Amino acid sequence: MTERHSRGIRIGLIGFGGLAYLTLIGLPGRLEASAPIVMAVVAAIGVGLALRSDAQRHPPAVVLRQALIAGVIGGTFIAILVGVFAALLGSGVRIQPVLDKITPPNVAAWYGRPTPAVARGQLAAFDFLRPALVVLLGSLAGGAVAVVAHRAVAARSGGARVPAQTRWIVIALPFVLLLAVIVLGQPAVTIGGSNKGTLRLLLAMLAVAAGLFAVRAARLGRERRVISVALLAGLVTLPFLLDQFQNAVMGIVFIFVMMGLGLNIVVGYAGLLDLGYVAFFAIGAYAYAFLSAPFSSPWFSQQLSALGLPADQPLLSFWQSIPIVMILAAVGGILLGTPVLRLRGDYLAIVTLGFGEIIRLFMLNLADLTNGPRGLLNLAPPTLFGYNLGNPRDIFILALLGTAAIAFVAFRLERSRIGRAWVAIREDEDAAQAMGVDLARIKLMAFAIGATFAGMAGQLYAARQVNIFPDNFSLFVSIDALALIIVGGMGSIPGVVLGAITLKGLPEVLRGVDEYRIVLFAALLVVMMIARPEGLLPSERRRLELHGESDATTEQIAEAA
Amino acid sequence: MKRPPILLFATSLTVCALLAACAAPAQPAAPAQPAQPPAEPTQTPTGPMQAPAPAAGPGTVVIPPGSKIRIGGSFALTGPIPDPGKDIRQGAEIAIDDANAAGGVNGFMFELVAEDGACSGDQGTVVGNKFAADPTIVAVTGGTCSGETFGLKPILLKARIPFVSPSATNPAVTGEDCDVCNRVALSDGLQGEVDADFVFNTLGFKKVAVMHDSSDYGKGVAEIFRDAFQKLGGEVIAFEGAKVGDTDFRAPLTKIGAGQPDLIFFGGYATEAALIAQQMKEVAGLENAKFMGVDGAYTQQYLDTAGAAAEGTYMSFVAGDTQKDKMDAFVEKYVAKFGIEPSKLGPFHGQSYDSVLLIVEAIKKVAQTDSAGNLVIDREALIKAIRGTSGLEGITGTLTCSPIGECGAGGVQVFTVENGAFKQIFGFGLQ
Amino acid sequence: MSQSLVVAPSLQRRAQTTRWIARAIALLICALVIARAVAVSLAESYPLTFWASQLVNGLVLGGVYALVALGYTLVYGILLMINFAHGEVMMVGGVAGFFALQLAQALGWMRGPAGLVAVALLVVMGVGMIGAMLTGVTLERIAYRPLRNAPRLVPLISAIGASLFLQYSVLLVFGVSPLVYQRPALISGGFRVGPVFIPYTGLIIFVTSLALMGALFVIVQRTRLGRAMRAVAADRDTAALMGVDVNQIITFTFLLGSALAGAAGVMLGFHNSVIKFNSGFIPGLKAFTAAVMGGIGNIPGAMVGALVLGIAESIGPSALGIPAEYKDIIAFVLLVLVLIFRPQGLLGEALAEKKV
Repeated sequence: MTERHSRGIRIGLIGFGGLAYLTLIGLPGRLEASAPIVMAVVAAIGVGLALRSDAQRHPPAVVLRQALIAGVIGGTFIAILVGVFAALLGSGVRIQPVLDKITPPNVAAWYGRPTPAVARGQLAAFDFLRPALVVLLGSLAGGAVAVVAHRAVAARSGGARVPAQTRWIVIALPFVLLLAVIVLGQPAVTIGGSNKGTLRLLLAMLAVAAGLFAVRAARLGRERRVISVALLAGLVTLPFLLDQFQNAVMGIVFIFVMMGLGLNIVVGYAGLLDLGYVAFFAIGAYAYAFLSAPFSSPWFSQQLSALGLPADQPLLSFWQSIPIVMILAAVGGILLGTPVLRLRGDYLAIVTLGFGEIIRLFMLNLADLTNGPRGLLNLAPPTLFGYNLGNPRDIFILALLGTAAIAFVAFRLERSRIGRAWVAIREDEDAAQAMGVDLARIKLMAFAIGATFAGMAGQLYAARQVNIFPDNFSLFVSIDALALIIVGGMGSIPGVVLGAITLKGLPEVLRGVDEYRIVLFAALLVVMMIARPEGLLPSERRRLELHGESDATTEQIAEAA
Repeated sequence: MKRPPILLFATSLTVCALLAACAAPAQPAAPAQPAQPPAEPTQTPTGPMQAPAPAAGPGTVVIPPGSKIRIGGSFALTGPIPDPGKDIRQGAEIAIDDANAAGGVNGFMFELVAEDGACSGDQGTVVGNKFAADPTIVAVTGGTCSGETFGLKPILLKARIPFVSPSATNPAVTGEDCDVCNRVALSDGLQGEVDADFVFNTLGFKKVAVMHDSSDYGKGVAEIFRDAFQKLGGEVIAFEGAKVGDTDFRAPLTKIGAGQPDLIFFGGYATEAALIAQQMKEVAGLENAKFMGVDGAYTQQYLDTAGAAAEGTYMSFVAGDTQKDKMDAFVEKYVAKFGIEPSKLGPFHGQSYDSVLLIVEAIKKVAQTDSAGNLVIDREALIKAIRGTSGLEGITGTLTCSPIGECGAGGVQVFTVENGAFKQIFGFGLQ
Repeated sequence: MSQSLVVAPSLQRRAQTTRWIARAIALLICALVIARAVAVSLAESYPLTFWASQLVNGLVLGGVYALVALGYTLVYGILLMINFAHGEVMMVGGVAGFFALQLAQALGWMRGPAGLVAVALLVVMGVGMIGAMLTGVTLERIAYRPLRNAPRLVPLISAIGASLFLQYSVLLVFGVSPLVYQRPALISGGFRVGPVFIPYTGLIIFVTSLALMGALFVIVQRTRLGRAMRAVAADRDTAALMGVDVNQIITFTFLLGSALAGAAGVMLGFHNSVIKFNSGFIPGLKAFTAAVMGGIGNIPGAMVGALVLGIAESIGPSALGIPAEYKDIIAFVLLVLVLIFRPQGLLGEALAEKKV
C-alpha cells in the first residue's frame, strides 16, 4: 500500500521537476493563452507514460489513485512555485536578471490571466490554485488514458497480424509523402501559412527516410529492385520540386551523408573511434579553397606572382580539383593515422579529437596561409559547360551524386577482403592479427579511405559556402558526424542517410521554435538513444548482435544480476 | 547480370537530372530579371488559380491587405556569442514596434522574421536561403557576425534582397561588387587606427602588448591596431591570442608581463575583456599597465564583470553624435519590453535599431499601393533606396550610406571608466 | 595480450617496425622541442621569477583540471564510458554555487568577520557540490542507466546530447549574460613569495584539489564502498553475484565524481570571476585529455596528467617561443607523445582486453 503511494508521490515530484523546468525556460509565456491546456497535456502524457506499466499489473482504481496522488503532489508544488514567483513579481521584485524567463507574461500564462494582473499583484486567491487544478486534471486524464490504452492494447493483441498490408503501406509511404510535397508546392495550397516551406522540408525529409525503410521492407529480388529504381527516380526529382531553402538544407544533409559514409568506414566498419574526423573535412575544404581562390591566401598569391602566374583566378576548376583534394585528404589520413596505430578505444578517441583541434588551430593561426579567422573568400562555385552549379539545387544534386559514388564504393568495400578485415579488427584486434591481418596496413586503409570521402565532402561544402572560415570546422562537426552514424545505425549505409536527416535536417525544421531548438534537439538525441540504441536503421549484422537470441539471454542474466 | 540494369538506370537518371539542371535556366522564368535565380515554384505564378496579384513578378513584393511587411533578421542567438546576438535582436524588435506605432507604411505593419544565424557561415547560408526562398521577405537585417554575413551575402545578392548588418565589421563585408550589402557598423579599420593614435599620441605610451580573442572581429581590429601603432613608431612587444569563452588568461598575461608594456590592447568582446582587465592586476610586470578594449566590450556587462578592475581602463566605441533623447527613449522601451538594460547584453543595440530604421525608411520611400489595395515594393528600387539613404536621423547618429554601403554614422570615441561608468575623453563629438 | 597469441612472424616483425618508426619520430619531435626550448630560453632570457609565476599558473590550472579529470576517471573506471557531460556537471555546480553566493551576499555574510565569511564560502561550495551531485545522479539515471548494456558508443552520444541539453538549458533559464562571482575581501588578492604573486583563489584551488583527491583515494582504497567500487570496476557481473548492489555503487560513483566537479565549478567561479553556459565544455575536454594522459581509470594518474597538462599549457608557449593561442596544440601533441611511448598513459596499467 505504502509502496503504491510512494510511487504516486515519486511521479508527482518528477512531474513537478519537469513542469518547473518548462516554466523556467519560459514555455508558458511563449504559449500565452494556450499555456494551461498544453501544461495539462504535458502532465497527462508524463503521468500516462509513467503509469503505463502499472496499468498492466493493477486494477484501474489503483492506477487512477496513483494518478490522483501524482496530480495533487505535482500540482501543489507547481502552484507554490508559480505563486512565489507571482507574489514576488507583484510586489515589484525583479527576478529576471537572475532567472531570465520569469517575467510577468510567463507567470500570467500559468494563471490564464492578463499580464498586468500579475505585474500589479492583482490576483484573486482562487487564481493561485489554478496551476494545481491544471496539473491535477491533466494527471487524472493521463491515468485514465493509461488504463484505456492498456485495455485497447489487450483487446487488440488477440487479433492476427497483417504483415503483407503493413509492408505495402511502408512501401507506399514515401510516394505518398512525395505527392504531399508536390501538392504543398502548389501556390494555391496555403496549408501551414508562413511555415509552409518548413512543412514541405519536413515532408521531403520524411519521404527520403520512408524510402529507406521501404527498400528494407520490400522482398529481396525483383520486388526490391523495382522499388529501389522507383524510389531513386523519386529522389532525383526532389531537387526540382523543392525551393531554395529546402534544397539548401537537403544539400547540407547530403554533404554530411558523404562525410558520414567516410566516418562509417573508420568507426562503423573498422571500429576505430575517431573524434577528429573534421580534420579531413577541413583539409578538403581548404585544399579546394587554395586551388580555386589562391588570391584569398596571402602566401599563395605571393608564390604565384613570384612564379609569374596570374593570382587573381582559380588555379583549377572544381572538377580538376577533385583528384588533388582526394589525394591530399588521403595523405592527411595516413599522416594522422600513423601515430595512433597502436592506440585503442578511448585513447584513440581523445588523440584524434586533439588532431581535429590542432588542424583547426593551425587554420586559425597560420594567417599567412589561411588568412586566419578572416577566412578564405570568393571560392569558385562548380561549373559545367559554363553553367554555374553553385545554387542550392545543383549543390543538392552534386551531393546526391557524390553520395551515390561514395555509397557504391563503401558498399563494395564492405563486402571485400578489406571489409572483412575491418570487421575482424573491430571485433577483436588480437585475434585478427593472429589470423594474419596486417593491422597497420588495414587501419591505415580505413583512415585513408575515410579521409578521402571526408575530403570530397569538404570540397563540396567549400564550393557551397563560397566563403570558408576556421570556425566552420569546429569539434562540433566531428561530433555531428559521429552522432549521425550512431543515430542512424553503425555500419549501415542507409542508416547514415537517416542519421544525417535527423541530425542536420531536423534542427532546421525546428527553426520555428528558435531558442528552444538546441534543447529540444539534445533531448531528442538522448531519448532516441534510449529508445533505439542500435540506431534507427541498423545494419542487419548489428541488429542481430543486439537482438539476437544469444545476446538476449546474456542481457537477461545481467538484468537478473 | 543482376545489378547492372539498376545501376544503368540509376546512372541514366542522375545524368538526366544533371542535364535537366543545366537546361533549367534556358526556360526563361523572368526574362526581365537576368540576375534572378531560377524561379522557384512558390514564386512563379503557374496558373489562372493564382491569387489576385496583378504584377507579382519576382522583381517585386506584393503584400495583400491584412498581411505584414516581413523583414528578415539573422541574429547570433546560439553559438559563441549569444548575448550580443540577443541584444541585437531585441534592438531590432523595438525598431519594428516603433515603426508600427508610427503607423507603418500606408497602413501596412512591419513584422520581424528572426532566424538564428548562430554566428556561423554555415547557418548564415541556411538562413539566407530561407529568406531567399520566401517571396514575402523584403529586406534583411543582420548578420551579427562577419562569418555569418558572408554566408548570407552571395545568396541575398542573387535573390536581390538588400541587407543591412548592424555589427559585421570585417572590411570585406561591403564592396563595389555587392549592391545589396550595407552595414551600420563601422569597418574595423577606422577604430584600430584611431585607437593607435590615441594610445601613442594622447597617452604617450610607446610600448604596448596586443591581445585578441581569435575571432574574425577581435583579431581583425587587433591586427589593424598593431600595424597602425608600429607605423606611428611604437613598439608592440607581444601579439597573443586567446579564444572566445576562455576564462583564464594568466599564462599569456604572465608572458606579456615579462616585457613590461605600458598598455594592453585587447580586440574582443566584453567578458574576455573584463577578465583580462581583472587578471592582469595579479601579474608581475603589469601592475601599472593600462588596459584598452574595443567596441565589442563597451557594455555594462564589462563594468559589472570587471568590477573595481575596470577603473581607469580605456574603451573605444564607434558612434555618432548619439541623440541622447532618442537613446534614452529607446532604452526605456527596451527595458519595459524585455526587462533588462540593453547594455547588460551587448553594445550593438543602437546599430541594430538603426539598421531596421534604415530599411523601414527606404521601404516607405519606394512602397506603392496598387488598385487592389496591395502594397507593392519593387526590389531593385528598394536596393537603390537603401543605398541612397542620406541624412537619416538614427539613434547612433546621422546615417548616410556611402556608394559601397557603409552607412554607419559618426566616428571613434574613446572612454575611460570612472566610478563605475564610462566617460568620454577623446575622439568624435567631444567638445 | 598479443604476446600470448600466435602471430605470423612476418606480421609481428612489421608491427615491431612500425612501432619503432613511431617511437623514432616521437623521439625526434621530443629532441626538436627540447632544442627549441633551450634555444628560446637562451635567446629570451626570461627571469627565473617568470618561470615560477608560470609554474604557479600551471599548477592552479592543473588543479582545476584534476578535479574534473577525477570524475571522468572514476566513471570510466566503473562503466568504461566517457561521461561527455561531466564538464557541464561542473558548470551546473558553478551556477548553483553562484546562487548560494548571491544569497550569502544578500544576507550580508560576505561582509562579516573572517570566520563567518569562511563558513559562508564553505556553504557556497557545499551548495555547488550538491547541485552538481543532483545533476550527475539525474544524468546517470536518465541518460546512462537505460543504456548500460548498449554498445559503447551509444552512451557516448547520449552523453553528448545531455551535454548540449545542460548547456542550453542553463542558457535559457539564466539568460545569456555570464554569472559574475564577486570575491569577498577574504580571498581576493593574494600574497607574494619573493616576487612571485600567488592569488588566494589559486592556492585554495590547488590545496583543495590535493585534499579532495586524497580523500577520494582513501574512500576508494580503504572503505567498504570503495572496495565495492573496485569490485564493480573489475567485473560488474561477478560483483553482482557477490552481493554488491551495482546500481547503488554506480550512483555513488557519480555522486563522488560530480561532487568534485561541483567543487571545481565553484572554485573556478571565484578564481576566474564568471560562470557561463559554456564554461564547462573546454575544461571538461582538457580534463578528459588529462585523464587519458595519466591513464584513464587511475586516480593518481588523473591528478598527475592534469598537473602536467596545466603546466605544459602555461609554460609551453613561452618556453617554445610561440604565441599563446597554440597552447591547445601543445596539450594535444604532448598527449600523443605520451601515448606513443606509454599507450596505457603515464600511470595506467596495460589494458585488459575487455576494456578495448
